[in-house]
Amino acid sequence: MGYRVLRGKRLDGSYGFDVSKPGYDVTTTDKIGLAFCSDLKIPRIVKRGSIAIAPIAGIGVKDASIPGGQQSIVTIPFGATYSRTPVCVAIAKAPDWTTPLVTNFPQLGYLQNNWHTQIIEQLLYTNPAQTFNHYGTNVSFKPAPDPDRVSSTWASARFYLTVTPSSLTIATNCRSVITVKYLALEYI
Amino acid sequence: MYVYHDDKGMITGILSGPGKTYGKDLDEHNILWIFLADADAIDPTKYYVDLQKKQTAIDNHNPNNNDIMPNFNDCIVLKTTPILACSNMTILANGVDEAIISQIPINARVIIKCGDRIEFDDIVSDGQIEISSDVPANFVILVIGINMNATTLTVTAT
Repeated sequence: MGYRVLRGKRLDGSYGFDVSKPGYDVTTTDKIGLAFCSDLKIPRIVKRGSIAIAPIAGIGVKDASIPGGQQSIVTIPFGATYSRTPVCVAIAKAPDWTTPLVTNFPQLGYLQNNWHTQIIEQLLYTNPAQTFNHYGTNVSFKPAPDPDRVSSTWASARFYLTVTPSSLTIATNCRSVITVKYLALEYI
Repeated sequence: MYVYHDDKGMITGILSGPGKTYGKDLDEHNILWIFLADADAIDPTKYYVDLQKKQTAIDNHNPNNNDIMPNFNDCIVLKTTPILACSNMTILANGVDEAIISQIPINARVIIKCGDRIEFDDIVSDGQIEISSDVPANFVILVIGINMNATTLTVTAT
């Protein structure tokens, strides 16, 4: 049984206060064997929870109107403004990840009802005249102002998040309700 | 459970986790909300927030009654599907014949699409809209109301 608690000088010459996990010698183990290390930043939970985001109906490129045609955006305030922007992670689940421009067949079926991290999708083709059949006959790269085409900067956002020092914002273009679990951490 | 909604009452999100004091944080970010104390989950696509009932709940709230916020439980209402009336589903493509779509809920959003073109996209406040056409075409009329499920009609000009 090795030492479990170290206070003072370590073998590498640095100073600190460490506690090792059972079975690890605090004087020789690497960081993975430590239960506590005074050098490591300790995250503090700023906000956590879940939110269900509803699709907003709007005009699609081909269909008359479909849920998700207008991007849904929700903001979750932290309740304070932090000097450093918190680190946020999120996972989301939906019964159907199809976005408004997908008109020909379902997309990402293997993700249905599974939790996953952010998905942002962009069209692959660079030829303005080339259509991408997943998205219907009128969808291709063609710069604005042609109303029937999407621009080369278009991206269909299934789910993504942006963070500010005071809030977390989640956006989606999914046709179905998505449920997002989020965790915001501040390192002190 | 916090229900986010827009300025017309459409639900945009359902937030679980924060307690009753979180409402002031939402107010500071100009987020419209109600708090449902007794609900675990609702389908946001099937309900809307009745803004008049919300205002009534706020007006009736007595902060001296140990309630930190109004009772919003009656403000969440199930959407219905309206039955639209259309005078002519088929009209002549001579610019004179006309189809009148009525019984549109007040302040519903109406989108009229012809092929890939959007001919009209606006709020209709008087409950009806007229369509005529110079050329043969199909018009898809989509009606989206806060208090209703989206519904469509097709009018054909021949």
